[in-house]
Amino acid sequence: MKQVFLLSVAFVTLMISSCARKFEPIDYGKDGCAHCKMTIVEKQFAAEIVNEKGRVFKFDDISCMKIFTAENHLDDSKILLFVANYANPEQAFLDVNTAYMLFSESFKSPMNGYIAAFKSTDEAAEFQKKTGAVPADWKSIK
Amino acid sequence: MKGLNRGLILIMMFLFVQPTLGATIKVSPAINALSKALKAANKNDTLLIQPGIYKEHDILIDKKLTVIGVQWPIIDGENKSQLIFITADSVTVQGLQVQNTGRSSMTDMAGIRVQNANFANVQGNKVLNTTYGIYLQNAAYCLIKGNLIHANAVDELNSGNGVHAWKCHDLFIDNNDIAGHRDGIYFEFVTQSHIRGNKSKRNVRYGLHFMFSHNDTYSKNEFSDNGSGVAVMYSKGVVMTDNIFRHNWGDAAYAILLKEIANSHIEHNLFVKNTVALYMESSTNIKVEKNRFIDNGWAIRVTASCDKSTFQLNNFIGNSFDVTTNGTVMLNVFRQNYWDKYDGYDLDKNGIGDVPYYPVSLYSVITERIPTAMILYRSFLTNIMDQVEKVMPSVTPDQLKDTEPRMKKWNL
Repeated sequence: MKQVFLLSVAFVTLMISSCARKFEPIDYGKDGCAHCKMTIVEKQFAAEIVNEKGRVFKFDDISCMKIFTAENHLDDSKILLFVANYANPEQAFLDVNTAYMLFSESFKSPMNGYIAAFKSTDEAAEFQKKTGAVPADWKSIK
Repeated sequence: MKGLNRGLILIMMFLFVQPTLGATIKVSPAINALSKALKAANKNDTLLIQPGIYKEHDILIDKKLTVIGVQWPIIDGENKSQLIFITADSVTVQGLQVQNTGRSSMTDMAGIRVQNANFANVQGNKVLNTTYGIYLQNAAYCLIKGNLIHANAVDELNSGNGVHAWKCHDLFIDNNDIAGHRDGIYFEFVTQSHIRGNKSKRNVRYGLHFMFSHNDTYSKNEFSDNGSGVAVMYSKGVVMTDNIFRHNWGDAAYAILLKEIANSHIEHNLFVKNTVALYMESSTNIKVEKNRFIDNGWAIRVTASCDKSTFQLNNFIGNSFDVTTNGTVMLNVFRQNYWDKYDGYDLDKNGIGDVPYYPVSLYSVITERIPTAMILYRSFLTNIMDQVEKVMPSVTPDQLKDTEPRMKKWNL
């Protein structure tokens, strides 16, 4: 009996671990934005949500992700939110809460969100100097 | 007296017109020959660019000039910078081969850029391997005609658009051949413009892309093999007629994607072999008539957030799904379409079926909710379910129906 119990525990833990919520890479030029339905091509502005059930939503603009969370009443604390690294879009996506974000009309994002995310303040500062962008954060953007 | 008057007028005309004709200057290849010649030229002069290769960039045209290429002189940016920059009104650029702009994420590098200028005439040029082909910014009354704009953005996703227009009005984009960019033609804040007779193909994202552009017309264009067809978004009063949408195939591909569109007209277009021919979301008062939907995955996907639209006099032939929707409410009208899947009868022989046609099949409702269920499509079970649903409708929206389905297809 004990063996069966142990086995079932092992099975359940395996099930849970295999469903771990994690970032799913975006297939550029193929995947569509969950909000605006446009095909995602610009790596610099892409974003992604993984919700509490592990379902993935991809976006072509950080502003699309913001509107999507508002329209679907998603709780920011329960879902995972990722944004592309503007300075190095080939690198791993950033967590929206730790990324450093800038707002400037010179960021020509697909849906005119004008928001870009950076890994560090140093990287952001460089662009801030060049473009006169203003700092932004996930809570305050519209 | 009358003859004298006429003679006087003629002489006067010559006197006044003569000085404005300007000189004709020949330009031959040399270091910075183009820039020097453009600087030295006077207003209204004509520059004849002789054949050869001109390795120059940031070529500024800041006065009214006519620049004509003789046998396709090549202006090569060597993948470094942008090329022709027009900032004056009434400039003509014709017969040039403009190639190899640089790439940059902050500045949009263009082959030919018209900025804060009106009445530009860009005709019969070859624009090859540029990030942005022809870029119009704050321009009006411009003619972009008969240009060949090709790039190779198959793998290159940081590419630009073939014809890019931003904050413009009264443009005429006519008979261009555009391929291999991000979007073939891109309009943002552009009004009262016409796009006619263009061929836009093999672009990474859209053949044509409208954003916030009102009262524009596009007709007689051909959009094929684009990543995702044509997108018309956040615009009013768009007229789309006589276009061909062919083979826009892929997971998120639509021949036309309409998002928040109002008071528009889609008439007499041909949709062949697209994943979704017409996708509509949050759109209102759209007239969809006399179109042919042939061999598409989904002919029409209309979300429950659309209203006051009419779908009439269309032909639906060989589509896997004719119509799907994501809700039970339907505030749009379907009437007098020809559906090849209609199996009703016409006892009074008036050409109109006696029982309504319900274009939403059970299985399309299921795949709308659970996209992965598509894997079981065309299985035996699916057929049984569809037949049962036809006899006893329970899941499909009963408001979505064509009460006057045509027995014979329309001759379109």
